[in-house]
Amino acid sequence: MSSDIAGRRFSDIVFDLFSNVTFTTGFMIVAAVAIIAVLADIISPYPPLEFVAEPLLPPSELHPFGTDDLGRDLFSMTLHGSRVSLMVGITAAVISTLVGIAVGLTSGIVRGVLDMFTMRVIDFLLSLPYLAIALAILSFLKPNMMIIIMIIVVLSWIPTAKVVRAHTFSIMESLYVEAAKAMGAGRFYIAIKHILPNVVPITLSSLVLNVRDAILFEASLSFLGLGDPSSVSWGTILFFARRAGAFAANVWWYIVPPGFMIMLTVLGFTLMAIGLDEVLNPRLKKTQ
Amino acid sequence: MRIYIGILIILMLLSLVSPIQSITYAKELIIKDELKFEFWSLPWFPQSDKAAELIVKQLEKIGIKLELRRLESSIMYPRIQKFDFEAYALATSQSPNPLSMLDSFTSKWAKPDIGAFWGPLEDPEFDELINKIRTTTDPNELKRLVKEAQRRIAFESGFIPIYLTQSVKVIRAEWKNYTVMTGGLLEVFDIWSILYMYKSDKPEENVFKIAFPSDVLSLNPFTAVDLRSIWIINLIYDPLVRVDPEFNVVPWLAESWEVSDDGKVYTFKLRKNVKWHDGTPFTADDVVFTFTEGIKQETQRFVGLKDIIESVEKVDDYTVRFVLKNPYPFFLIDLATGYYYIAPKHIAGELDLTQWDNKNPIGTGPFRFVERTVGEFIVLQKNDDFWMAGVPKITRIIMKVIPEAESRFLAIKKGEVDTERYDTAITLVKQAEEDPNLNVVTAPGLWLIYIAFNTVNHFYDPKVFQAIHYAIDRQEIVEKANGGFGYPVYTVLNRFWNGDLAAEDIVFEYDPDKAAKLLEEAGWVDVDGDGVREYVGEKKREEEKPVETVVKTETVMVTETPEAATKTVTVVETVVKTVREVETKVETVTQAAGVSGGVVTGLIVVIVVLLGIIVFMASRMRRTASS
Repeated sequence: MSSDIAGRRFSDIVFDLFSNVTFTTGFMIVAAVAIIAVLADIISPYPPLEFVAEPLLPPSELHPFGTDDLGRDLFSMTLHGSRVSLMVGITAAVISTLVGIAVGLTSGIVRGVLDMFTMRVIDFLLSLPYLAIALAILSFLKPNMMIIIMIIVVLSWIPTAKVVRAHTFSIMESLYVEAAKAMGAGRFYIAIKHILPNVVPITLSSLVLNVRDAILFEASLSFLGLGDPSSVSWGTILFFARRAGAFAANVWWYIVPPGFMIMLTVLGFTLMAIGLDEVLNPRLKKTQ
Repeated sequence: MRIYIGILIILMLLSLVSPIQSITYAKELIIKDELKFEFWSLPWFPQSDKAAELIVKQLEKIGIKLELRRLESSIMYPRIQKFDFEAYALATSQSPNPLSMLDSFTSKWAKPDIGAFWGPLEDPEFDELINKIRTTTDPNELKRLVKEAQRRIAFESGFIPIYLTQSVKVIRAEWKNYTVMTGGLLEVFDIWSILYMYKSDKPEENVFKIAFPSDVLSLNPFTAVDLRSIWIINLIYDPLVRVDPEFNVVPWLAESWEVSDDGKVYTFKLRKNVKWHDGTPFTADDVVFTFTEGIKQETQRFVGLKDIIESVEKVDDYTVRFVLKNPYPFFLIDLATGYYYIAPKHIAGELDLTQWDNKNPIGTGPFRFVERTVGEFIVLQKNDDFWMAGVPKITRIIMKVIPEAESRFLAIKKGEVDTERYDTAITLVKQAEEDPNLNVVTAPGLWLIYIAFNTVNHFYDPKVFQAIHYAIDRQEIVEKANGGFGYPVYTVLNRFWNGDLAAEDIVFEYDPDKAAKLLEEAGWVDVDGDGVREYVGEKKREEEKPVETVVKTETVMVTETPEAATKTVTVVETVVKTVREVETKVETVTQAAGVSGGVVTGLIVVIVVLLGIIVFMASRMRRTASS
């Protein structure tokens, strides 16, 4: 029972997932980026933030992606950038999904005043302009990776919480929960035993979407120059490019690699999320 | 008795022999545990932001850690003015008046909330020196005093100049007859270009369009503080005197002037053929009104004259007498470069000048105001009644707001505008030079890039600042941060703006060893080996542990052609091999050519894709088998 998710065996789900083209494609992209991120130190030919050559050299054998306006190797920077982007994206998404599940589940089961209160907090947070809030916070706190992750978490647990809460409501109405209640099961028991297994598959795809959103959010913060200056991410490279006026100067090798990597990673996670939804969401599941 | 004398003599001898010269600094030292500073930089000013990045790297080498943090000006400036900062890199605009820079190091600026920027010296003796400079008329004595002030600032303050930018402006090639003066083409002091420039003999074709990065903040000549606003005001209004391209004071609204023997009374004769744009004649009343009310109402532009001017009196309709509190030899250059524009009494006479919105400015200048759409454009038209005959040649000026640097450049390239007010991005200069429709005009620039430490309440140790002077490779910064467009600067004044008043003999040649030595003398040693120096008192110094040094050799590739590259690669490889064979304990940072990195990345992608396909096929097969 413990390895079951929504009544299906775990290994079955894995095989279902990998026979889904969309999921597998997304997974391949993400896996490749992840391996590059892990091996960045070994693969990259130069330290990412050292000035190693003449500025603005076009791509060559020495510098596959050329160099930037301060003479740093863009290939090494792009490789190292994947590290920050993925780390921030995955950590922030996991934390915010866990927070979302916890809040949604509690709110859905306890109901009453607590539910009222959480929903008003959620309404309030939904009405905030995220980027503006993040900019305001970062003007007062020193930006480092932890702060950026925390900001993303604070601003992105809401959709998960809302989805989980709604599902909790509908499951609470179902017959087997009624039956469990009749047999004297407590709220906590029902939450863990009956609701959580039904909610997890839905949150899996929103987890993956959260990763995507977090990566984009980190990139936009860094692009505005508010990223962690001691490390390099794709958004930071784009910030450097904009500062150097690379867009009008036809220095395409400055913009294309980080931009392409952001696009590719986001695409990978989106495909994964779509695949997960197709396989796990019973309504979308293709009839076999 | 003899013993005492003997001891005294020995003590005196000892003090002579003592290796560390005891220089007494006026200000007490403020010491922190380690040389680690939060270091602010403006993200949208590339000349200083790139310099900041390079300085972080250069100071890291001598054990000073700057933690870079990018902040918007709206947050950074107020905090700097309250002395709520540790260190920052910024740019300050230059003026031919040496006092505009020197004065900010006097004690009166050491109070928070007064609008000071870098840390003053807080030394009464220095204040006295600046006061003396203010009142000295003898040029040689003046030169000596100004140089003395520069020396003190260079060796004692936390203000470290890095370089003066070289102004690089791109302008459409059809424009002729402009003047190139220090500060850059079409900067505020350069009224001459705007008066004499033209592109065609037909007046209606001489429409000059200039792109601004953002809209002007104010058209009120009493309160405008940003140079963008002053640029527009400068065309609509006139000052009493201006500077010519060599920074000599020349008559403008004032035709001529006399200075009394004691240097305290300046009498100006005004031009008689000057009319305001609405037809009212310009008289001495306007001048008296502008200066008296401007000072009395403490407007931002005029409040600085409060300590200088005793009174402004009308002698007759075309004569004005300025009585100064003390002799002030810089009075004329201050009038010419301090942005003191004469405003019309018949319009502003009864107004609260600090709140005046001035929606329809009426001036005496070469251009009259036509219309403005806030945030988009301003249109000015030639003043046909301008007192100077035959100018301006331009019939219409259109200021257009284009926020992005790249859009501005593309607009110039396409001919939508003729030039822009800020320097063109260095990466675009090559493109502009190759374009036959564009001219690139360079001149010594307006901006001094500098770093400053908060010496008022955070950290003060002159030895450390001297060490930083020596540890900064200004030439490298000019080359990397601004593509070589700039001049290393070592003192607050420089020869481009202040001529022979600049102390050119003070030079801090790049010398990291000397910097390290200075830091050690001052008691800064990296005790825990983390790369940042900590403070050890005089006593602690004997217990110093020898720091284990790891020799790092870096193989740097200089050549960039493919053949040479492969050659270097083999050379590097053999070097690496020999190093390994000899088994010296040398940590080598091998920098294999980018090729290998690219190949590895490619391989990873291929492997992942292959694995993915295999997993996909396998799962498919298993599913069909099970169903």
